Amino acid sequence: MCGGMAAKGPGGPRWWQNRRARLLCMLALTFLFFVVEVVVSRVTSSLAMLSDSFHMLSDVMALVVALVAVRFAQRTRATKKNTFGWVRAEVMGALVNAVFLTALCFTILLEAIERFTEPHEIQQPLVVIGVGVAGLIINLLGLCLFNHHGVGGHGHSHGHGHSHGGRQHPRSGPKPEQPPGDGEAALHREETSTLVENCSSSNGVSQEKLGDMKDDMADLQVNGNAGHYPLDVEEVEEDSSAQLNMRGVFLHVFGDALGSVIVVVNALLFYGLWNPCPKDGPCFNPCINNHCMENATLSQTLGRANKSEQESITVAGPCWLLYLDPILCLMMVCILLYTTYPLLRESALILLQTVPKQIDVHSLNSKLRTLEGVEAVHELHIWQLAGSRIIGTAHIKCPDPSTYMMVAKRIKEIFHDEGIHATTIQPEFASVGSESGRGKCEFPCRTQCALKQCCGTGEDSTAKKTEKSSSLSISCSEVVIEFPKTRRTKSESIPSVKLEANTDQNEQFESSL
Amino acid sequence: MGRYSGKTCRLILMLVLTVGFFVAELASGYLGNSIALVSDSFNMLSDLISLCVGLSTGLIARRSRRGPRATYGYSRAEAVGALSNAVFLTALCFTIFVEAIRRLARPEPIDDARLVLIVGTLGLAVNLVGLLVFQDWGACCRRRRPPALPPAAAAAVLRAVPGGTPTGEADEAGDSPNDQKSPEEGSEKKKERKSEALNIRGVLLHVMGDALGSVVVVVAATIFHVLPLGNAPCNWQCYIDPSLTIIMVFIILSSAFPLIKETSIILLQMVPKGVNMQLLTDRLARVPGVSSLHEVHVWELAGGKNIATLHIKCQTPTDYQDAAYKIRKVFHEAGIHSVTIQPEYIDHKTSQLLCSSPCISKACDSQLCCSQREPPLAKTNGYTEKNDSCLSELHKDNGSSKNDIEIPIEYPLAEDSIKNVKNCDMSDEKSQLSRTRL
Repeated sequence: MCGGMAAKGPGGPRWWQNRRARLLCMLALTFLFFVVEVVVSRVTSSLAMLSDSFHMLSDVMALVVALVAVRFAQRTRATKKNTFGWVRAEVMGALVNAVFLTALCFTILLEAIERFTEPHEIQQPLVVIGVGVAGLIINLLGLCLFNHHGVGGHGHSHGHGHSHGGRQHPRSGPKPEQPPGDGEAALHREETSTLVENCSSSNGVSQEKLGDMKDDMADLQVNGNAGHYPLDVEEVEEDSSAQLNMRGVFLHVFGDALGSVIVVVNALLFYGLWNPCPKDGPCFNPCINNHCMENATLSQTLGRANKSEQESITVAGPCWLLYLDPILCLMMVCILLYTTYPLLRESALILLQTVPKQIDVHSLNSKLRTLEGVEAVHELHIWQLAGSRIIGTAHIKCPDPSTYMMVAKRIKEIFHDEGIHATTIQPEFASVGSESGRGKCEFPCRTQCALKQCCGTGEDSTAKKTEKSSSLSISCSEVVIEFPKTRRTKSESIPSVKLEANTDQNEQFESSL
Repeated sequence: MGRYSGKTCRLILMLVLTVGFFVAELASGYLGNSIALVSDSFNMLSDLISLCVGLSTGLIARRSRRGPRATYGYSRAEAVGALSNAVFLTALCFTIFVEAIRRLARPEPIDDARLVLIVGTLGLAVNLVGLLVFQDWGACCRRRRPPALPPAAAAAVLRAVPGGTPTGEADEAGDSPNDQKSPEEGSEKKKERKSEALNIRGVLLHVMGDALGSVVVVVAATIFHVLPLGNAPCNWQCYIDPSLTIIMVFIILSSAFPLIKETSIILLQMVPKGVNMQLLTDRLARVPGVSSLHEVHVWELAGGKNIATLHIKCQTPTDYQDAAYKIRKVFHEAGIHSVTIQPEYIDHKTSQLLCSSPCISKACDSQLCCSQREPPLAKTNGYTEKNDSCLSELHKDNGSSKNDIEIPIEYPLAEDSIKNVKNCDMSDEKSQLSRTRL
C-alpha cells in the first residue's frame, strides 16, 4: 500500500523520503489499530481499552492536520488568494499540532488527578498488556518513520539502511557533527539549532552542495525522473518548515508511545503484584477510600472472624500499585510538555513575523548605512515566510538616482550574505528641504492613514519632536503635528529601527488603549 | 488613556471571577468529598488557561514595540493567541465527545442530582456573567480616558480603542469625527475592530462552551432530581446527558471554525478580505510610467493593517518618481497603506515580467519567497512579450519531465525543470518565460 505512493508527490521516488507518503502510511496504520482496539474493547468490555483507543484517534487527527498542511504547502506558487503561495501552511500545521498536544496533556493531567482521588483497579490486565504492546509497536514504527525526518535527522538515523546517507550529507554540510545520541537530547539540540544551520546552509555557500546532491539523486533515482529542480525545492524546503510540521507529528506519536509504555508497565506490574479480591469470600480492600467500608466492614469482618478466618481474609493490595498509573501519567505529561514547548515557540515566532534567530538586524542596518551613497535606512523589516525563505524590505535614502543604481547591487549582496534573498528595496531621493539625515520616509501614505500603517512612518522620535515645519512632501512630521496625543495611542509610532533612537522610548511606552 | 483598555479590563474581571469560582469549587469539592465538584472545577481551569492566553497575547500585542527581534512588533500575537484558543477548545471538545460516546455505550445515572444541580447552576451563572461582560459594552474603563481631546485626535483614538462604539466616544469627545474621515475609513474601522477583537473572540468561545456545558449539566440534573431513578436500571434519562453533550460539541465546533478561518487568513499571509488582487494589479498596471510589475504581494499584518510590496519596471527614474505616488494612491484606495516599491529599470536583456534583481545569483531561487521561473501576478502595461519560441520548447519538455507537484488551476503550465531553464538562460535571456496573466 505504501509502495503505491511512490509516484505521488515531490521529494523523490523512494516512498520513505516522501513526507506525504509516510504520513499516509502512518495514518492508515493508526486508524486500523484504532478500529481494532474499539472492537476488542467491546468484546472484552474493557473501558481502559476504549480510552486508549481514543488516544489513537487523537493521533489520527494530528496526522490529518499534518497531511493537510503538507498538501497545502506544496503549492508554492502565488495565487489570487495568497500572493506568497501556501508555504506557510506547514508552520501553521506545526503550531496547531503543538497546541493540540498541549490540550491533550491537559486532559490527561485532569484524568490523572482524578485517579489520585479515586483509584481504579485494572480489569483484565492480560488483555490490556496485549493491546498495549501492539500499540507500542505501532508507535515505535511511527517514531522510526518520522524520527530522522522529524528531528532534522542529521546523524540521527536509526540505521534504516536506505539511501538517506547520500541525501543527508549535502544538507548537513555546514552543520556540526551530531553524535547519534538518544532521541531526546538530539531533539533538544535540534530544536534550538535547526533554524541556524538550515539558514546558514541556505546561503550562497551551499549552492554547490545542491549541485552535488543533484548528482547523487541522479544515481539514486529509480524512476529516472528528470525533474530535478522541484526536488531541490523540496530538499531545501524540508530544512525547516517541513521539519516543524513533521516534528509536530513526531511529538504526537512520541506522546502516544509514552502512553503505551505506561499502560504496558502498569499492566505488567499489576498482573504480577496485585492481589485481587476474589469474587467470593470476605475481602478487605484498604485502598478504596470509603469511610463506611472502612469502619463497618473492617470491624464486622474482624469481629466475626476467629483466628483461622482472619488468616483467610484476603486483603487486596498493595495499594501503591493503584497510584502508579497516575504518577506515571504525570511524568509523561511533564515530558511531553517539555518537548512540545520548543516546537510551540518556534512556530509561534515564525507566525509572529519575528526576525529569524540567526539574523542580526543591528549589524545589517549598520552595514547598509555604511555603504557609500546610502544616506539613511528606514523601514527595515526582516521576517521569515517559512523554512529558508526569508523576506526583507527596506527604504534606502540616496542623494540621487544614479547613486542608487551604483549601490543597488551592493545592497542586494549584503542581504544575500545574511541569507535574505527576497528583498524589496525602495529608494528614496532626498527631497527639497529635508535636513534630517535620519530617514524621514518620503512616501508614507496620507496622514489619516498613520494608524493603519504597519509601523509608524519610520520617523525617529527626536526628529518628530523637532520638526515643526512641514515639508513639501507628505512627511511623517505632519503626523506628529496633527495628532500629538495619538503618539501614545498607538504603539507603532516607534522608530522603525529602534537602535537609532534611544532617547524617547519611554514616550512610546504607553499602549494604544 | 491608561494601560488598560475596555478589553483588557474585561479580561481581568473575568479572570478574577473564574479564579474565585475555581478555588471555591475545588475547596468545597474536597471538603464535601464530591468528585463531581472537583472535576467541574477543572473545567473552570481550562477556561482560566484560555483567559490567560487571551490576556497575555493582548498585552503583548499592545506593547508591540518594534525592535531588533521583531521588526513589525508583536501585533500579531492576538491572532496567534486566538488560533491557540480555538485549537485548544477543539481538542477539549474532542475529549468531551469521546467521553460522551463512552457514556452512550455505558450509561450511568447521575448520583447526587441535587449537588450537581446546585454546582451546575452556579457555574452557569458565572459563565453568563462572563458572556455578558464580553458583550460590546466597553463601558468598563471608558471613564479612565482623559476627557478632553482635540477633535482630530478623537478620530484617531476612536480607531485605536477597540470595543468602543463610535457614537459613544464621539459624544464624549464633544465633536463628531465623521467630518475628518473618508467613508472608506469608516468601514476600515469596523474591520479593524473586528479583527482586533480576535483576542476576545477566542476567549469568548471558551466561555460559551463552558456555559453550554453548564446548561447541559443543569438540564440533566434537573431531570434526575425531578424523576429520581433510585436503584432502577438506566432508562432514557441516562441518555440525555451524553446526547445533549454531543449536540453541544457540534455547536461549539461550528463557532470555533470561523475563528480558525479568520486567523488563518492573517497567519498564512493571505490576501486580506476586501482586496481584489485582479482589480488591484489591473489598476496598477495602468499607472503611467509603469512598464510592468511583478512580485506583487499583499498581506495583512494584524488588525486591518495591510502591507504590500511590489517591483515595477520603469524606463527612467523620473518615471518612477511620478509613478510611485500614483501607485500609492491606488493602494491607498484599496486600503493598503504600507507599500514598498522597488523600481527596476528596463534593460533589454531581461524580459518585462521577470525581476531584474531577484538576488545576486539565480541560484538563490529556491529561497526566494516566490520562484522567479514563473512570475505570478505579473502584468505588463499594454503589450505582451513576443517570445513564444522558448515557450513552446518548454511545453514539449515539460510534458515528459512533469513532476507531480500540485498545480493550481490558475497556472496551467507546468513547473520547469532547472535543466530547461538553464538552457534558456544560456541561449537567450529574452526567451525566458513570459506571462501576461495573473
